[in-house]
Amino acid sequence: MIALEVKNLNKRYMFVKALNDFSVTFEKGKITGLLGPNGSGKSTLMRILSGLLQKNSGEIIYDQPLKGKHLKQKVAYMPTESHLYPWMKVSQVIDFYEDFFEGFDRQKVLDAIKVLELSPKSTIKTLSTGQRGRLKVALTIARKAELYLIDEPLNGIDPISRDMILDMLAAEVSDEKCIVISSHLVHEFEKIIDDVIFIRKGRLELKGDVEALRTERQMSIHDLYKEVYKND
Amino acid sequence: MKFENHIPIYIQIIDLIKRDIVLGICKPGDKLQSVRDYALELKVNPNTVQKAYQEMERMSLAYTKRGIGRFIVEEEAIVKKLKHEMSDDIVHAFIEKMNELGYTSEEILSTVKKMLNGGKK
Amino acid sequence: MIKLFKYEFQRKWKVSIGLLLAYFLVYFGFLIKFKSEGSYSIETFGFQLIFFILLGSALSFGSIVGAVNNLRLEAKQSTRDLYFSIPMSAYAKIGSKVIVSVVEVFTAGFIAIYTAVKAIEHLTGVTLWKTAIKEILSQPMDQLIFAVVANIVYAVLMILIVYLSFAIFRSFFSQVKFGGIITIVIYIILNYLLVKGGTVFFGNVEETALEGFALWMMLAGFTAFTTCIYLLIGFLFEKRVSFD
Repeated sequence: MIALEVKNLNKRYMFVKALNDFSVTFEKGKITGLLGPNGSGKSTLMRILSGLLQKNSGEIIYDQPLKGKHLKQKVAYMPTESHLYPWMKVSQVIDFYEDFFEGFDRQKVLDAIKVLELSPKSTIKTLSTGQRGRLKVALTIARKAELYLIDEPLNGIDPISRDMILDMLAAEVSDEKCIVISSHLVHEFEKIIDDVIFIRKGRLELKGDVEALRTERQMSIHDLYKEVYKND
Repeated sequence: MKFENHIPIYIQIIDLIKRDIVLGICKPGDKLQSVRDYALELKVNPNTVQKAYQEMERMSLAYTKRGIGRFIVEEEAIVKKLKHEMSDDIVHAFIEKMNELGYTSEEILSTVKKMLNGGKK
Repeated sequence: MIKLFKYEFQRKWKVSIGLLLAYFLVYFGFLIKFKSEGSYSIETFGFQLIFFILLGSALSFGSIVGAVNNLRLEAKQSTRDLYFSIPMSAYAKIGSKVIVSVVEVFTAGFIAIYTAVKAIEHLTGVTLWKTAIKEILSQPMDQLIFAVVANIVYAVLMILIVYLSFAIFRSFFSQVKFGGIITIVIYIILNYLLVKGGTVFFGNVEETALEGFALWMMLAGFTAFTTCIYLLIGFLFEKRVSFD
């Protein structure tokens, strides 16, 4: 079931075209991996879909029309950088999410932080990169949204936290949700994705079912990635 | 669970379950774990487990009892059948590899005999 | 929207209390020191009296910086990704910040004026505050109300011009480096246009000719203009700004 269709999306930064006539569809009930090297347009795409960035041209068509605050409620974007207020305590951040995001699953986050060994009293400032990375994902998936855009959740994160994050994300698959995760760390990540989208210089290079691609090309997605971008 | 990334994971999951059946860990008629639980255990996407289960049904290895869950088929013969299938695959691959090295059929047989006898001593 | 106010309060209270505490520490510290050194007269406006005026100005200035930063910092740091993805209209977000800013500036302004006047009273022995209040209250009620409303609208407009600068920057120049400088340039241009527009609009009117109804009409127009600026800012933040 299609969650959204992106048609001929264009975005220019000064003299560089970040998205060049980019078209693709995203489906519900799956985890889609958005792969590509730095600067290929992954974050740009996610930021435009989340409303934080304006496109130059093109269409974004959801299965039901979404605008303004309804869009913001239904699209949960998790940026790569730390987007949580450093002065807040973990408990305050949870309150914040609950206050502003309808249907936020407070209990889910509380359960998650126990597993993740995070204390509600710590301030965000004092958390390690790994702890912040885990918390961000836990908060994002506890939101009641239809489209989840997770931007490079594994960057700069220690291996144990990476595992925790991948486990959290893999468990989120549901028929009502469309989950898109971008990464260029393919190796561990490819086990949890259903579909893969390769983006290259702002264009769609390849899209397919991960297992079908494995059968067809007789290689891992990691190796396929190296194939796709080898000349860049 | 260590999975190879160049072979479809759902096939590797099916192989895992087949092995469990052959080894007696999973018995004919046993209930399969829920998709979600098994996926969590294997650390893979639940859709992949779902695919594996569906393929097993297609292969007549498993079936769904509506409202209750998925079960391994109840034929005892399945255990033997799978055992033979899996050993056939292993032997086939072995013979191919030996042939690549230049071994004739007689040479393969005598090598195997020697290995087995050596093991007995 | 109340949740937005809760969040603004949560964000600012520690710094605000800290600044007030620092202010009062310096204030009372020097008041005691000066008092012990002798008495002063209002005619010979010595350094000691000017000091409290300067101190009060510093507090007011601090509150203005705070008012500007309410939006500036929110739109600049990486936390903006969280704030601007909150499912509330930009009108509510900007509105909450404007209200908090106005309250902040007026409260600081009042504290500054009151404490400075009281300090001077204390040092010179001249009753200033009560006399001033009596003088103000003896004015016709409608003139008083007019003055209060006009001042509030004016303060709101001043803050809105700053916020509009940020909105314009984020809508049309978000990719340009040295954003701070560009925003300041935009701010200067907007202020120039405002003053120019003001002299064109009001310059033709004789001061003495304005009374009663006409004056209130002008205030209404002024308020309507300020409201339009607010709506423009809301629109830009809702539909046009980019956070690169």
